[in-house]
Amino acid sequence: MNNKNENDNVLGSLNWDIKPDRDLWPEIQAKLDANSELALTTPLEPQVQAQGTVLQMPAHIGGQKPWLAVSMAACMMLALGAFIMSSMSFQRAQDTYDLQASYIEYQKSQISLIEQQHSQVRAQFTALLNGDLGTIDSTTVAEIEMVLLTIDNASLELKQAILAHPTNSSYAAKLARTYKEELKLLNKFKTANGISI
Amino acid sequence: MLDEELQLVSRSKNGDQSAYESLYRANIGKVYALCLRLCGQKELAEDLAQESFIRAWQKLDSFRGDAKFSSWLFRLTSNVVIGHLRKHSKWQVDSLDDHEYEQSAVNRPFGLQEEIDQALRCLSDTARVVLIMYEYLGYQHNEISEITGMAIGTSKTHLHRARTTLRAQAEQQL
Repeated sequence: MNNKNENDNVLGSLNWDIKPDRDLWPEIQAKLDANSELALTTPLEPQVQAQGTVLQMPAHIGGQKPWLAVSMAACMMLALGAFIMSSMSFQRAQDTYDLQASYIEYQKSQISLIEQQHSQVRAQFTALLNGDLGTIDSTTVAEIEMVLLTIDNASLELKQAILAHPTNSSYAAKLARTYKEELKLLNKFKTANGISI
Repeated sequence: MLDEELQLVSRSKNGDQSAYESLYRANIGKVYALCLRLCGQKELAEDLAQESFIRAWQKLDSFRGDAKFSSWLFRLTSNVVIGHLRKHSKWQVDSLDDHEYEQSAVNRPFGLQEEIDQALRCLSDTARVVLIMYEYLGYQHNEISEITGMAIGTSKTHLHRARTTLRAQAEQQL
């Protein structure tokens, strides 16, 4: 503390607790999530908290297959990010629409390519899950199906967001990342279980 | 209360966003008011407050808990705002021009909160920041010098002239 003369403190009579006109938290949270995505290489806790709901990672998956825990957490973070971004109505003005349009086209072509790969691998993987996998227990299969459902919901929300906000290229980028994460997850799962498709 | 705050900080350090949201709710009013008074613009103040909370989240590990979280947050917020002002406005850390204060807030009524705010907005960014950091945040001139990059003498001069300007306006009102 300094030893200023209180008579000089004209600021003391001011209100120093002013709420902003809008709630800044949703945007802050979205940015924190975006930063978390960039740090996906850091090991994540098996328990992922999302908007007041605790998504409990099964211990047998997180413990024995850390890659699966990381991938699941990554996918859930993407799902949460997709939900927050799609629910945000505020959008900053874009500087260069032409550049953005070409970027969106590029993103679309990339997404289309990844969707083709995704559909192919996913179909083969689903067939395996429904068939006799031998070494994989039914609980694990159920958990994997739950993760895939979470990813599907995330992808669906992102597609809806892309339709609602065609000029916002971040949704397309997120969708591409979602597919890539899922492909990585499926490939790691196959490798870990000695399955070849 | 302090224990509760430390617990929230601890949980936030472990990535718990709901705990961090509680810290945000408890401090946003003060952080926003500080940003608003330092920069003088509503929308910019919102952006800077937002940036401050994001920066605080990223730097939570550097909060050791030996001071109040709000004090740590205010210092970080001051850094964010000053960083912005240094980049985007006329930020004066060297010698002062006598014209600067003579031109500001002439013949403006003074006394009520809004009028004090108006008078503050009429000060230069540098003078306003020094005044708020000294009068409201309680920093010494050597700390202000460290944070803003201006010489200690310059900080003292800014403060003296800012006070003189505000006092002159108060006397005008009387």
